[in-house]
Amino acid sequence: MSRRRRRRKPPGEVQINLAAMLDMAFQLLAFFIMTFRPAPIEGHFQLRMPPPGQMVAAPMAATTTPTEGIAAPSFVETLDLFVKADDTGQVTSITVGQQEVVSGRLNEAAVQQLNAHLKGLFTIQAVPFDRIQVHADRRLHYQELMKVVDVCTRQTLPDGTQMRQIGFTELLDPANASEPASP
Amino acid sequence: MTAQTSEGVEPNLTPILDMVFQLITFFMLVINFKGASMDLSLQLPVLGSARPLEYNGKLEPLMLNLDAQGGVQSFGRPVDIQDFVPHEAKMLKLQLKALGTPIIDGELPVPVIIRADKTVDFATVLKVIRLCQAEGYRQIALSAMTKGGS
Repeated sequence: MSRRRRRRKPPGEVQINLAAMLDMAFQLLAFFIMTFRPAPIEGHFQLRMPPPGQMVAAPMAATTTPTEGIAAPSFVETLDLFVKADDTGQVTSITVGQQEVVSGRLNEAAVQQLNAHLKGLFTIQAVPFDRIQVHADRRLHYQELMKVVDVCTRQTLPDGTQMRQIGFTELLDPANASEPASP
Repeated sequence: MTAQTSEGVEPNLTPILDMVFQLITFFMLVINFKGASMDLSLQLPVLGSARPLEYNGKLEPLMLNLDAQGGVQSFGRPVDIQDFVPHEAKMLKLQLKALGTPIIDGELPVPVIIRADKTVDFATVLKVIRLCQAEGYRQIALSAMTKGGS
């Protein structure tokens, strides 16, 4: 005969059945595990666009490559940046105003070169650029565009704020300049 | 002492329940509801200088995913951008009106987040930006990965 004595429960004690709760908890856990998707480490380049009626129609710089846009007077403080690309979507040249700053691929050295050039322009207080207009080839890949935007947003305005007023226009191929641009 | 029979064994479930609840709490805290609006198959460009979005508004930003073929997706389904952006802008205006937020100079105080595949051409991106501009969106956020990875 077992000498073990079962402890008698007092009449007021209630024993909760944990098995049911554990079942439910496991179901919830399974749901959260299956729907778990870690957020990608993403950042953004926040730009402030002009209203559609104020987009630049033609570059200030004298160039033979016309740009597509709504007819409106240009901003006097706008710095025009022309980005040409090849069929693979890679940058072939970048011209700031009338000066070609980058010739060839937009590698790290070219990015630094463009950044240094823009910094030089933005430190001239007599020409307080407050907007950059990027005239880009329609074939330009988003990755290359973002490199250019990255350099543009690194610039600071005379009041110390970050450059965010960046507009985009399509740069037409001079060979097809007579054809209407399709955005 | 006598051997304990398996008949009378009652496992103590309290520790395992504690652990499961802790796991549930963890997953509840790290759940990413915004992930549903993102197309995670896109290969975004990698630029370390990209910063988190500076926006503290009550209304959610409009997120547009541009895939490599130039298609636009929102919440995992392809949308016709020509109809989708005007519809979203219209709904946003109604929400702003209900909240009593004024629309100054026709500018919608909610950013648009454009998540484009790195091979999308500029013409497609510009088309989307123009459409957003025309509907009153002025704040455009272009997305990039801050670190390389799969």
